Amino acid sequence: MYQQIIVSLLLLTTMVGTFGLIDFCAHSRRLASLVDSWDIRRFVENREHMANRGMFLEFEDRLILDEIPHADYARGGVYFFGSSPMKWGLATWALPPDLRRLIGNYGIGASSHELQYAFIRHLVEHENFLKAGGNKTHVMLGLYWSMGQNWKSDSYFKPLWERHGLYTYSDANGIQRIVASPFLIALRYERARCMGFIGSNINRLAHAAVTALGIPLTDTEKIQDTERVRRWAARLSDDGEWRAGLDRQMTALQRLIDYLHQRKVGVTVVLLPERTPFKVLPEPMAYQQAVRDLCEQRAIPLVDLSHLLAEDEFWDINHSNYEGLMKTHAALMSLAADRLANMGVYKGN
Amino acid sequence: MNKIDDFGRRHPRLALALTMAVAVVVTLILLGQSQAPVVLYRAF
Repeated sequence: MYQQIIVSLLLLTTMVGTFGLIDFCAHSRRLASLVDSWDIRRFVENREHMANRGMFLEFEDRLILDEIPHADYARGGVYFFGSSPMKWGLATWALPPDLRRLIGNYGIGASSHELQYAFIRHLVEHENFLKAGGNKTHVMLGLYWSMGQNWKSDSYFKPLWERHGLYTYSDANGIQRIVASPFLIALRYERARCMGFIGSNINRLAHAAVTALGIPLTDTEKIQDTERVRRWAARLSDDGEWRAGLDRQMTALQRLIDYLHQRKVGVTVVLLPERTPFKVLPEPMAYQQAVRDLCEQRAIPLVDLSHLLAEDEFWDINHSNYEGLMKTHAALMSLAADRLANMGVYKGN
Repeated sequence: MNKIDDFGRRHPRLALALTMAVAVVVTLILLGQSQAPVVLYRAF
Protein backbone atom coordinates (compact mmCIF):
# COMPACT_ATOMS: atom_id res chain seq x y z
CA MET A 1 0.00 0.00 0.00
CA TYR A 2 2.75 2.38 1.05
CA GLN A 3 4.72 1.56 -2.12
CA GLN A 4 1.68 2.15 -4.31
CA ILE A 5 1.19 5.62 -2.86
CA ILE A 6 4.86 6.43 -3.44
CA VAL A 7 4.71 5.23 -7.04
CA SER A 8 1.48 7.16 -7.67
CA LEU A 9 3.03 10.33 -6.27
CA LEU A 10 6.13 9.76 -8.39
CA LEU A 11 3.93 9.39 -11.49
CA LEU A 12 2.07 12.58 -10.66
CA THR A 13 5.33 14.43 -10.04
CA THR A 14 6.74 13.18 -13.35
CA MET A 15 3.68 14.38 -15.25
CA VAL A 16 3.58 17.78 -13.54
CA GLY A 17 7.35 18.08 -13.95
CA THR A 18 7.12 17.32 -17.67
CA PHE A 19 4.42 19.97 -18.06
CA GLY A 20 6.56 22.42 -16.07
CA LEU A 21 9.69 21.71 -18.10
CA ILE A 22 7.89 22.10 -21.44
CA ASP A 23 6.24 25.28 -20.16
CA PHE A 24 9.61 26.65 -19.06
CA CYS A 25 11.06 25.95 -22.51
CA ALA A 26 8.00 27.49 -24.18
CA HIS A 27 8.59 30.72 -22.21
CA SER A 28 12.35 30.80 -22.72
CA ARG A 29 13.40 33.96 -24.56
CA ARG A 30 16.78 32.37 -25.22
CA LEU A 31 15.26 29.35 -26.94
CA ALA A 32 12.84 31.59 -28.87
CA SER A 33 15.77 33.68 -30.05
CA LEU A 34 17.61 30.52 -31.17
CA VAL A 35 14.69 29.20 -33.22
CA ASP A 36 14.03 32.66 -34.68
CA SER A 37 17.68 32.82 -35.81
CA TRP A 38 17.28 29.38 -37.40
CA ASP A 39 14.08 30.46 -39.21
CA ILE A 40 15.60 33.76 -40.38
CA ARG A 41 18.75 32.06 -41.67
CA ARG A 42 16.70 29.59 -43.70
CA PHE A 43 14.60 32.45 -45.08
CA VAL A 44 17.63 34.56 -46.03
CA GLU A 45 19.12 31.51 -47.75
CA ASN A 46 15.86 31.11 -49.70
CA ARG A 47 15.29 27.60 -48.32
CA GLU A 48 12.01 28.16 -46.50
CA HIS A 49 9.50 30.93 -45.97
CA MET A 50 9.75 32.78 -42.64
CA ALA A 51 6.54 32.25 -40.69
CA ASN A 52 7.58 34.64 -37.87
CA ARG A 53 5.88 32.39 -35.34
CA GLY A 54 8.43 32.02 -32.56
CA MET A 55 7.52 29.10 -30.28
CA PHE A 56 4.00 28.84 -31.67
CA LEU A 57 2.60 26.77 -34.47
CA GLU A 58 1.52 29.83 -36.44
CA PHE A 59 2.02 33.58 -36.61
CA GLU A 60 -1.56 34.10 -35.44
CA ASP A 61 -1.14 31.92 -32.35
CA ARG A 62 1.90 33.99 -31.37
CA LEU A 63 -0.15 37.14 -31.92
CA ILE A 64 -3.15 36.01 -29.87
CA LEU A 65 -1.35 34.15 -27.08
CA ASP A 66 1.74 36.32 -26.66
CA GLU A 67 1.89 39.64 -28.48
CA ILE A 68 -1.58 41.01 -27.71
CA PRO A 69 -1.70 39.93 -24.02
CA HIS A 70 1.71 41.59 -23.47
CA ALA A 71 1.07 44.71 -25.55
CA ASP A 72 1.31 48.07 -23.83
CA TYR A 73 -1.29 50.31 -25.42
CA ALA A 74 -0.71 53.15 -22.95
CA ARG A 75 1.86 54.89 -25.13
CA GLY A 76 -0.01 54.55 -28.41
CA GLY A 77 1.58 53.29 -31.59
CA VAL A 78 1.08 52.19 -35.17
CA TYR A 79 -0.72 48.90 -35.82
CA PHE A 80 -0.87 47.07 -39.12
CA PHE A 81 -3.93 45.00 -40.03
CA GLY A 82 -4.52 42.79 -43.02
CA SER A 83 -4.36 39.22 -44.23
CA SER A 84 -1.30 37.03 -44.88
CA PRO A 85 0.51 39.42 -47.28
CA MET A 86 0.41 41.89 -44.36
CA LYS A 87 1.44 39.49 -41.62
CA TRP A 88 4.41 38.46 -43.75
CA GLY A 89 5.09 42.01 -44.94
CA LEU A 90 7.00 43.30 -41.91
CA ALA A 91 10.26 42.09 -40.41
CA THR A 92 9.29 43.05 -36.87
CA TRP A 93 12.14 40.93 -35.48
CA ALA A 94 14.58 43.48 -36.94
CA LEU A 95 13.06 46.44 -35.06
CA PRO A 96 14.90 47.94 -32.09
CA PRO A 97 13.07 47.10 -28.82
CA ASP A 98 11.87 50.65 -28.12
CA LEU A 99 10.29 50.88 -31.58
CA ARG A 100 8.99 47.28 -31.45
CA ARG A 101 6.82 48.26 -28.46
CA LEU A 102 5.08 50.87 -30.63
CA ILE A 103 4.61 48.80 -33.80
CA GLY A 104 2.16 45.93 -34.02
CA ASN A 105 1.80 43.55 -36.93
CA TYR A 106 -1.75 42.28 -36.43
CA GLY A 107 -2.22 40.49 -39.74
CA ILE A 108 -4.45 37.41 -39.73
CA GLY A 109 -4.42 35.01 -42.66
CA ALA A 110 -7.51 34.12 -44.69
CA SER A 111 -9.44 37.13 -43.42
CA SER A 112 -11.86 39.53 -45.06
CA HIS A 113 -12.80 43.08 -44.07
CA GLU A 114 -15.74 41.73 -42.06
CA LEU A 115 -13.42 39.51 -40.02
CA GLN A 116 -10.89 42.32 -39.63
CA TYR A 117 -13.67 44.57 -38.36
CA ALA A 118 -14.57 41.94 -35.73
CA PHE A 119 -10.91 41.73 -34.72
CA ILE A 120 -10.51 45.51 -34.34
CA ARG A 121 -13.74 45.76 -32.35
CA HIS A 122 -12.48 43.05 -30.03
CA LEU A 123 -9.21 44.92 -29.49
CA VAL A 124 -10.97 48.22 -28.82
CA GLU A 125 -13.79 46.86 -26.66
CA HIS A 126 -11.99 44.09 -24.74
CA GLU A 127 -8.23 44.69 -24.93
CA ASN A 128 -8.05 48.44 -24.24
CA PHE A 129 -6.45 49.00 -27.64
CA LEU A 130 -7.12 52.75 -27.49
CA LYS A 131 -5.79 53.23 -23.96
CA ALA A 132 -3.51 56.05 -25.14
CA GLY A 133 -6.42 57.68 -26.98
CA GLY A 134 -7.37 57.64 -30.61
CA ASN A 135 -5.04 60.53 -31.40
CA LYS A 136 -2.03 58.45 -30.26
CA THR A 137 -2.98 55.30 -32.15
CA HIS A 138 -2.75 54.89 -35.87
CA VAL A 139 -4.18 52.01 -37.88
CA MET A 140 -2.50 50.96 -41.12
CA LEU A 141 -4.75 48.81 -43.25
CA GLY A 142 -2.48 46.66 -45.41
CA LEU A 143 -4.92 45.64 -48.11
CA TYR A 144 -4.77 42.83 -50.61
CA TRP A 145 -7.43 41.93 -53.15
CA SER A 146 -8.29 38.64 -51.43
CA MET A 147 -9.73 40.60 -48.49
CA GLY A 148 -12.61 41.52 -50.77
CA GLN A 149 -13.72 37.88 -50.83
CA ASN A 150 -16.36 36.46 -48.50
CA TRP A 151 -14.09 34.29 -46.35
CA LYS A 152 -16.23 31.99 -44.25
CA SER A 153 -15.26 32.38 -40.60
CA ASP A 154 -15.45 28.58 -40.18
CA SER A 155 -12.57 28.11 -42.61
CA TYR A 156 -9.92 29.60 -40.34
CA PHE A 157 -10.83 32.68 -38.29
CA LYS A 158 -13.27 31.00 -35.91
CA PRO A 159 -11.17 27.84 -35.27
CA LEU A 160 -8.14 30.06 -34.75
CA TRP A 161 -9.81 31.99 -31.92
CA GLU A 162 -11.51 28.97 -30.40
CA ARG A 163 -8.76 26.34 -30.63
CA HIS A 164 -7.35 26.85 -27.12
CA GLY A 165 -10.62 27.29 -25.23
CA LEU A 166 -9.90 30.96 -24.47
CA TYR A 167 -12.24 32.76 -26.87
CA THR A 168 -15.39 32.16 -28.84
CA TYR A 169 -16.29 33.65 -32.18
CA SER A 170 -19.61 34.04 -33.95
CA ASP A 171 -20.55 36.30 -36.83
CA ALA A 172 -23.28 37.82 -34.64
CA ASN A 173 -21.29 38.44 -31.44
CA GLY A 174 -17.75 38.68 -32.72
CA ILE A 175 -14.80 37.61 -30.56
CA GLN A 176 -15.62 37.02 -26.90
CA ARG A 177 -13.44 35.88 -24.05
CA ILE A 178 -14.45 32.64 -22.36
CA VAL A 179 -15.87 33.19 -18.89
CA ALA A 180 -14.05 30.83 -16.51
CA SER A 181 -12.02 30.92 -13.32
CA PRO A 182 -8.68 32.76 -13.56
CA PHE A 183 -6.91 29.48 -12.70
CA LEU A 184 -8.55 27.63 -15.60
CA ILE A 185 -7.79 30.49 -18.00
CA ALA A 186 -4.15 30.57 -16.87
CA LEU A 187 -3.91 26.78 -17.24
CA ARG A 188 -5.31 26.95 -20.78
CA TYR A 189 -2.82 29.69 -21.71
CA GLU A 190 0.07 27.57 -20.46
CA ARG A 191 -1.27 24.44 -22.14
CA ALA A 192 -1.55 26.41 -25.40
CA ARG A 193 2.05 27.57 -25.05
CA CYS A 194 3.19 23.99 -24.43
CA MET A 195 1.23 22.82 -27.47
CA GLY A 196 2.86 25.58 -29.50
CA PHE A 197 6.33 24.62 -28.32
CA ILE A 198 5.85 20.95 -29.15
CA GLY A 199 3.92 21.54 -32.39
CA SER A 200 6.09 24.33 -33.81
CA ASN A 201 9.33 22.47 -33.24
CA ILE A 202 8.03 19.19 -34.66
CA ASN A 203 6.72 21.22 -37.61
CA ARG A 204 10.09 22.99 -37.94
CA LEU A 205 11.96 19.69 -38.04
CA ALA A 206 9.46 18.24 -40.53
CA HIS A 207 9.92 21.28 -42.79
CA ALA A 208 13.70 20.95 -42.58
CA ALA A 209 13.54 17.25 -43.45
CA VAL A 210 11.16 17.77 -46.37
CA THR A 211 13.14 20.68 -47.85
CA ALA A 212 16.41 18.72 -47.38
CA LEU A 213 14.91 16.06 -49.65
CA GLY A 214 14.22 18.73 -52.24
CA ILE A 215 10.45 18.41 -51.89
CA PRO A 216 8.59 21.75 -52.07
CA LEU A 217 6.47 22.54 -49.01
CA THR A 218 3.87 24.44 -50.97
CA ASP A 219 2.38 24.41 -54.46
CA THR A 220 3.56 27.81 -55.60
CA GLU A 221 6.85 28.39 -53.80
CA LYS A 222 9.63 29.86 -55.94
CA ILE A 223 7.51 29.81 -59.09
CA GLN A 224 8.91 32.17 -61.70
CA ASP A 225 7.59 30.73 -64.94
CA THR A 226 5.31 33.50 -66.26
CA GLU A 227 2.66 31.16 -67.61
CA ARG A 228 2.54 29.12 -64.40
CA VAL A 229 2.22 32.27 -62.29
CA ARG A 230 -0.57 33.51 -64.56
CA ARG A 231 -2.46 30.21 -64.26
CA TRP A 232 -2.18 30.23 -60.46
CA ALA A 233 -3.32 33.85 -60.25
CA ALA A 234 -6.33 33.05 -62.44
CA ARG A 235 -7.13 29.99 -60.34
CA LEU A 236 -7.11 31.94 -57.06
CA SER A 237 -9.47 34.59 -58.39
CA ASP A 238 -11.80 32.40 -60.41
CA ASP A 239 -14.87 32.90 -58.20
CA GLY A 240 -17.74 33.77 -60.53
CA GLU A 241 -19.71 35.32 -57.64
CA TRP A 242 -16.97 37.72 -56.60
CA ARG A 243 -18.95 40.92 -57.26
CA ALA A 244 -21.50 40.31 -54.48
CA GLY A 245 -18.70 39.40 -52.08
CA LEU A 246 -16.75 42.50 -52.96
CA ASP A 247 -19.74 44.79 -52.37
CA ARG A 248 -20.33 43.21 -48.98
CA GLN A 249 -16.68 43.47 -47.97
CA MET A 250 -16.41 47.10 -49.11
CA THR A 251 -19.40 47.91 -46.89
CA ALA A 252 -17.54 46.23 -44.01
CA LEU A 253 -14.41 48.25 -44.79
CA GLN A 254 -16.44 51.47 -44.71
CA ARG A 255 -17.92 50.50 -41.35
CA LEU A 256 -14.48 49.61 -40.01
CA ILE A 257 -13.06 52.99 -41.06
CA ASP A 258 -16.07 54.87 -39.67
CA TYR A 259 -15.72 52.96 -36.39
CA LEU A 260 -12.09 54.06 -36.09
CA HIS A 261 -12.75 57.64 -37.18
CA GLN A 262 -15.53 57.97 -34.58
CA ARG A 263 -12.82 57.20 -32.00
CA LYS A 264 -10.39 59.74 -33.52
CA VAL A 265 -8.07 56.99 -34.76
CA GLY A 266 -6.02 57.93 -37.82
CA VAL A 267 -6.23 55.44 -40.68
CA THR A 268 -3.90 54.92 -43.63
CA VAL A 269 -4.64 52.46 -46.41
CA VAL A 270 -1.75 50.66 -48.08
CA LEU A 271 -2.16 48.49 -51.16
CA LEU A 272 0.36 45.70 -50.67
CA PRO A 273 2.62 44.26 -53.39
CA GLU A 274 1.07 41.73 -55.73
CA ARG A 275 2.38 39.66 -58.60
CA THR A 276 2.03 41.03 -62.12
CA PRO A 277 -0.73 38.70 -63.42
CA PHE A 278 -3.14 39.86 -60.71
CA LYS A 279 -3.00 43.40 -62.08
CA VAL A 280 -5.04 42.47 -65.15
CA LEU A 281 -7.57 40.11 -63.54
CA PRO A 282 -11.12 41.47 -63.06
CA GLU A 283 -11.50 40.77 -59.34
CA PRO A 284 -8.19 42.25 -58.11
CA MET A 285 -8.67 45.25 -60.44
CA ALA A 286 -12.22 45.86 -59.18
CA TYR A 287 -11.05 45.54 -55.57
CA GLN A 288 -8.29 48.11 -56.00
CA GLN A 289 -10.64 50.51 -57.75
CA ALA A 290 -13.24 50.15 -54.99
CA VAL A 291 -10.55 50.87 -52.37
CA ARG A 292 -9.35 53.92 -54.29
CA ASP A 293 -12.92 55.25 -54.58
CA LEU A 294 -13.55 54.75 -50.87
CA CYS A 295 -10.31 56.46 -49.88
CA GLU A 296 -11.14 59.39 -52.13
CA GLN A 297 -14.67 59.72 -50.69
CA ARG A 298 -13.45 59.59 -47.08
CA ALA A 299 -10.22 61.56 -47.66
CA ILE A 300 -8.12 58.65 -46.37
CA PRO A 301 -4.43 58.60 -47.25
CA LEU A 302 -3.77 55.81 -49.75
CA VAL A 303 -0.29 54.46 -50.42
CA ASP A 304 0.00 52.16 -53.40
CA LEU A 305 2.80 49.62 -52.98
CA SER A 306 1.18 47.10 -55.31
CA HIS A 307 3.95 47.64 -57.90
CA LEU A 308 6.80 47.76 -55.38
CA LEU A 309 8.24 44.30 -55.99
CA ALA A 310 9.69 42.63 -59.05
CA GLU A 311 8.53 39.11 -59.88
CA ASP A 312 11.73 37.57 -58.52
CA GLU A 313 11.08 39.20 -55.15
CA PHE A 314 8.14 36.92 -54.38
CA TRP A 315 8.44 33.64 -52.50
CA ASP A 316 5.15 32.23 -53.78
CA ILE A 317 2.01 33.44 -55.52
CA ASN A 318 1.11 35.94 -52.78
CA HIS A 319 4.06 36.44 -50.43
CA SER A 320 7.46 38.05 -50.76
CA ASN A 321 10.85 36.41 -50.34
CA TYR A 322 13.58 37.91 -48.16
CA GLU A 323 14.60 40.60 -50.67
CA GLY A 324 10.96 41.51 -51.25
CA LEU A 325 10.24 41.59 -47.54
CA MET A 326 13.13 43.97 -46.91
CA LYS A 327 11.73 46.39 -49.50
CA THR A 328 8.14 46.15 -48.21
CA HIS A 329 9.32 46.44 -44.61
CA ALA A 330 11.35 49.58 -45.41
CA ALA A 331 8.41 51.21 -47.17
CA LEU A 332 5.93 50.38 -44.39
CA MET A 333 8.32 51.40 -41.63
CA SER A 334 8.92 54.72 -43.34
CA LEU A 335 5.16 55.34 -43.18
CA ALA A 336 5.00 54.15 -39.57
CA ALA A 337 7.88 56.38 -38.49
CA ASP A 338 6.15 59.34 -40.09
CA ARG A 339 2.86 58.61 -38.27
CA LEU A 340 4.62 58.03 -34.94
CA ALA A 341 6.43 61.36 -35.26
CA ASN A 342 3.23 63.20 -36.22
CA MET A 343 1.44 61.79 -33.16
CA GLY A 344 4.40 62.73 -30.94
CA VAL A 345 4.72 59.11 -29.83
CA TYR A 346 8.26 58.43 -31.11
CA LYS A 347 10.79 60.81 -32.51
CA GLY A 348 13.46 58.27 -33.45
CA ASN A 349 17.09 58.33 -32.56
CA MET B 1 0.91 -10.07 -17.06
CA ASN B 2 3.01 -12.61 -15.12
CA LYS B 3 6.00 -11.82 -17.30
CA ILE B 4 5.64 -8.13 -16.50
CA ASP B 5 5.39 -8.95 -12.78
CA ASP B 6 8.50 -11.11 -13.01
CA PHE B 7 10.34 -8.34 -14.83
CA GLY B 8 9.31 -5.87 -12.11
CA ARG B 9 10.53 -8.16 -9.33
CA ARG B 10 13.86 -8.84 -11.02
CA HIS B 11 14.51 -5.23 -12.16
CA PRO B 12 12.48 -2.93 -9.87
CA ARG B 13 14.43 0.25 -10.66
CA LEU B 14 14.32 -0.33 -14.40
CA ALA B 15 10.58 -1.04 -14.21
CA LEU B 16 10.06 2.19 -12.26
CA ALA B 17 12.15 4.17 -14.76
CA LEU B 18 10.17 2.72 -17.67
CA THR B 19 6.88 3.60 -15.94
CA MET B 20 8.06 7.18 -15.50
CA ALA B 21 9.16 7.33 -19.13
CA VAL B 22 5.67 6.23 -20.14
CA ALA B 23 4.27 8.99 -17.90
CA VAL B 24 6.44 11.55 -19.72
CA VAL B 25 5.25 10.31 -23.12
CA VAL B 26 1.61 10.30 -21.99
CA THR B 27 1.98 13.90 -20.71
CA LEU B 28 3.45 15.00 -24.04
CA ILE B 29 0.60 13.30 -25.89
CA LEU B 30 -1.96 14.94 -23.59
CA LEU B 31 -0.35 18.35 -24.16
CA GLY B 32 -0.24 17.85 -27.89
CA GLN B 33 -3.57 16.11 -28.42
CA SER B 34 -5.64 19.23 -29.06
CA GLN B 35 -2.93 20.77 -31.19
CA ALA B 36 -4.26 22.37 -34.33
CA PRO B 37 -3.45 20.43 -37.48
CA VAL B 38 -0.04 21.20 -38.90
CA VAL B 39 -0.70 23.67 -41.68
CA LEU B 40 1.86 23.40 -44.44
CA TYR B 41 0.31 26.01 -46.63
CA ARG B 42 -2.56 28.43 -46.84
CA ALA B 43 -2.82 30.59 -49.93
CA PHE B 44 -3.75 33.81 -48.09
